[in-house]
Amino acid sequence: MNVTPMIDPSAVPAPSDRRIIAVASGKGGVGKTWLSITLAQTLARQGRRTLLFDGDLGLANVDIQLGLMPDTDLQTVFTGQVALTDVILSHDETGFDIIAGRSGAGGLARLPIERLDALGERLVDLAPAYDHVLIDLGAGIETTVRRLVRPAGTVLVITNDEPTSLTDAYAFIKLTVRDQPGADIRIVVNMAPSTAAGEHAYRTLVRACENFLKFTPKLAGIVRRDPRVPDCIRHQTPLLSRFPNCEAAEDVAAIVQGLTDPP
Amino acid sequence: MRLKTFTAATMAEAMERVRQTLGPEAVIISSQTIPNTGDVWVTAAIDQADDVDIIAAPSGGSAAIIQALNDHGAPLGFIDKVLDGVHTAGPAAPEIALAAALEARLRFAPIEEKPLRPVMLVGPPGSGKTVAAAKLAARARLDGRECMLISTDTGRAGGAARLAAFAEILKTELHQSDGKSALTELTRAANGRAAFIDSASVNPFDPAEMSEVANIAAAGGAEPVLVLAAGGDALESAEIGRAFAAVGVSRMIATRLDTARRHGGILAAANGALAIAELGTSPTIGDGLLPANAATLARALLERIGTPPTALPEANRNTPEAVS
Repeated sequence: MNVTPMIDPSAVPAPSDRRIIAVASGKGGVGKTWLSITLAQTLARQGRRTLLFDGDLGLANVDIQLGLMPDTDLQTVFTGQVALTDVILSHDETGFDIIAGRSGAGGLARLPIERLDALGERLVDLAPAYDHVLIDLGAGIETTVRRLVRPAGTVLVITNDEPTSLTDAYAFIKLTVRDQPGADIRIVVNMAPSTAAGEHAYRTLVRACENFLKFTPKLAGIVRRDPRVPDCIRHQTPLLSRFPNCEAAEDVAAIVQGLTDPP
Repeated sequence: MRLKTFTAATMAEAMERVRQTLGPEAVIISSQTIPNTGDVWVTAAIDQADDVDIIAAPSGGSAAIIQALNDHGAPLGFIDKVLDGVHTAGPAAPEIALAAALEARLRFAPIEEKPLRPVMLVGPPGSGKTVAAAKLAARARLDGRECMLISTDTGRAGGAARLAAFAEILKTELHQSDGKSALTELTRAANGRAAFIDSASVNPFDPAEMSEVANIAAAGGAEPVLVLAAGGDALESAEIGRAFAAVGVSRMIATRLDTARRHGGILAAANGALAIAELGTSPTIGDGLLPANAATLARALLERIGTPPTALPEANRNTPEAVS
């Protein structure tokens, strides 16, 4: 048989959209889902149309943090003839839209790359209906996590000031730089004991990136440790609904400022 | 990256310990003086050249297929199933891989040269039933076979007029049927010739209209074949496909593949409900209908990609020019 040469995958550019912001971390437990929700709530309170996509495909948490009981979620998109737009929930309390995942959906966590790409392209299709689309990625640096970075115009990498978290954030950045040279990667230091400690953690990470990757990620912001944050998470209440003016809320607002300012 | 922190009385001592522990490649990435003791606190790191995996990128074939099916607006669930087929088929050019996957996922059953029963074209308004009837008759005539055209679209002003114009060009008998018993008579009179029946449009979501169209087909001893235009919303088209399958339709003719950019509706309608019989790919009555198979459909799906809208044919090109 006369075999036609295969198309070079690099010849099919991955579509991306600058409105899409991926929130990643490497290490789990650094506040990725909380930050995604609070960023979305901050954007929504500024009157920006915002969609939060729960991209932690196997262990989705956005709905749990918000205390939602969604009837439809991503799983139904893959099992039934339902479009991605059919599973968008409007969350009245926070004012943003949500596409929920399903916690414990092992099948979604094992989606092959092609299906993740198909999902990513659908998100790019959805983006024009919004000012911002946030993707709350899963923890870890596996392919399934990193692949959903492709549709994003900006990647926020969340770390705290501990060596484990800094090392995992570095690993995530290293792989993302290699997957997508030129990606707009920015760092958020979360749960910083002080602004100075947060800046120190950022400088540590940046020096590692500069030394080993010849790449300087920008600082998206520092979120100071705030006891009201774990309190809200325990009560399944979004932060700004209870403490719109607390320190953590101010810090997230500063991150949003940096994301929405024209470059 | 391996990150390690060191505390020492002086910077020189700290540097020495870094070198001893991490080797000469180590880099100091942060240093601080601890206020109370005056000790130096240093964080150093080394990075292995290539200690991490590289993404196994999708093969060129499946990347092109995903993009094509996405661009056509095929439902994600359908894309998922097709990709299963693509993987089973193994490495191949996109066209071959997609054809194999469509073959496994959809059924293809072109209208026979000598259909056992009269073929009655049914469908929602504006789907191209009349043109499909004319194209089927033209194919028979160009092959030198006798056939007859019947219109049951007698209630609407000018309903049968277009078909009459085609019948004249094709030099084919045209009969109008204004009732079930008349249709029974007419199809009996076909007497071994192929008969193509053009019918009035129906609302797929009106159960009374749908059961009436099935009754008319039954009266004529005809096979009802759905005519559905490309370019429709995928979920809408899927519902239309299921509605017609529910009243006994088993095949569909997909029309306007040349003037629509998105064929996801056609795929969704056929998926699990109907076999694809024919593909309408050109306005020409003489050769505008292609017997459907997986390879033709795969080609049609892949070649649309990247076609800029300005290069597309004008809308409403379906008007016949002449028999070529």
